[in-house]
Amino acid sequence: MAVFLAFPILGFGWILQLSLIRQINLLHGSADLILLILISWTLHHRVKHVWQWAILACVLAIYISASPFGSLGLSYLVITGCTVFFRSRFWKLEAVTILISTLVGTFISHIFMILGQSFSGANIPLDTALIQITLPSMFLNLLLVIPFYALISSLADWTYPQELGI
Amino acid sequence: MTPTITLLRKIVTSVVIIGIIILAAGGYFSFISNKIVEPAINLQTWISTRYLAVKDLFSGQKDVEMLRQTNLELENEVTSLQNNIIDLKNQLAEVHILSALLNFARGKPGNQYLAATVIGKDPNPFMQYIIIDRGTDDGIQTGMPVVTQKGLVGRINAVIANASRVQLITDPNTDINVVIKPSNTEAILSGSITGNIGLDFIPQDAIIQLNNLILTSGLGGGYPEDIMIGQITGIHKKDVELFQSATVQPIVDFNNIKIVLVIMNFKPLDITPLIPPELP
Repeated sequence: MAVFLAFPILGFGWILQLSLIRQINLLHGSADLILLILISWTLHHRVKHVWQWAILACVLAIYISASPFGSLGLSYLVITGCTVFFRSRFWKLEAVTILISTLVGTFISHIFMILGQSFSGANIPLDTALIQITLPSMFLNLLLVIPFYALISSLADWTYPQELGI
Repeated sequence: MTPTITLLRKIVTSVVIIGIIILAAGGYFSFISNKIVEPAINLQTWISTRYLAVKDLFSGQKDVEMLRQTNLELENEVTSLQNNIIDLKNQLAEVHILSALLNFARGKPGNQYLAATVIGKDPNPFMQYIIIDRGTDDGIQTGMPVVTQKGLVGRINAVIANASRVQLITDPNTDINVVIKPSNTEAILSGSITGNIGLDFIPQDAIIQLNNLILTSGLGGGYPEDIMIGQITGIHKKDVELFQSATVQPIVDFNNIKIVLVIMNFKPLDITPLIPPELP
């Protein structure tokens, strides 16, 4: 059930990302809805099917985005791994984990995209990329992660109902 | 009583009654009728007012509910009409854009154009791509140039059945052969991650000035020639360097593209077989 739920959630997330979120820019950066969905889903303590969601997000990213070498999709897999690690380390500090995962996730995603672009021959000035794109994107992601975490948490609670101990 | 007296009595009574009626009709008894009728009217008014007040007390709630219902219906109608106004304004703006594109298409009758609406942007913020709502079902192929009535937008990079991805000229992986007018100097236009475009490989002896126009040169076969791109806004020339460079203001507003034209009858050339292999 949780795996099947990934298709409409991530599908709708991609539609919103392409048509709406990418039109809202701060300097030249924008939020990443799929990143926020993956982080929120992974951080929920009862969620089990984390990697299935990550693989689906990766496949969709490779299909939809023009990122060279599938860099955007691959970054989602790495970010999921990092988030799983943070969940195991900071399981009592939920708010801190959310923020750290978002910051690190945005950074990893942009590193992958910059490397992909560089290997394809584009000239990417790192200082411009950091100031104009990465930092504004990080700010927007931090702004949106809390409401998205609440939303995805509710979904996860519904998908994985708490077992009552007798 | 004799019949004569009875008859006389009847006649007198009738005359008196008729006389009273005539006098009353003539208004001679009005002061008497006013005195009698006025209190009756006052009493009736008093009773009627109280009755209406009691009636309003019980039917007022129903009237208030009816007024609220009517108010709600009118508010809904106003909202619906406002939505219609917004839709109509959007359609009007679209008509203006399409009209401008049509005029552009009529100005270049040699090309075949297909209009497409921009429906999204690539999720990678380091790349400048847009997604349009036309695909292979409409005859679009990879490599077709995309323009607006103002100038060059980019090129089709990937296609599926009913959508395509367009690589904008502002993308950092874009390199376009251009010509600077009026000096007819050739250069290479390239994009950047911030969406700015610039010219490179301008010969040092080339004479270029601010506000010179940049058009596609057609070299390399990637784009048709003579499509407007922009104007030079800054020139960087150093004697110690091999080439000049320049910054360009694109003529198309890439932050506000809504409808584009795909040039359907242009086939990009693949000149890689003509490029000689590198010598070992």
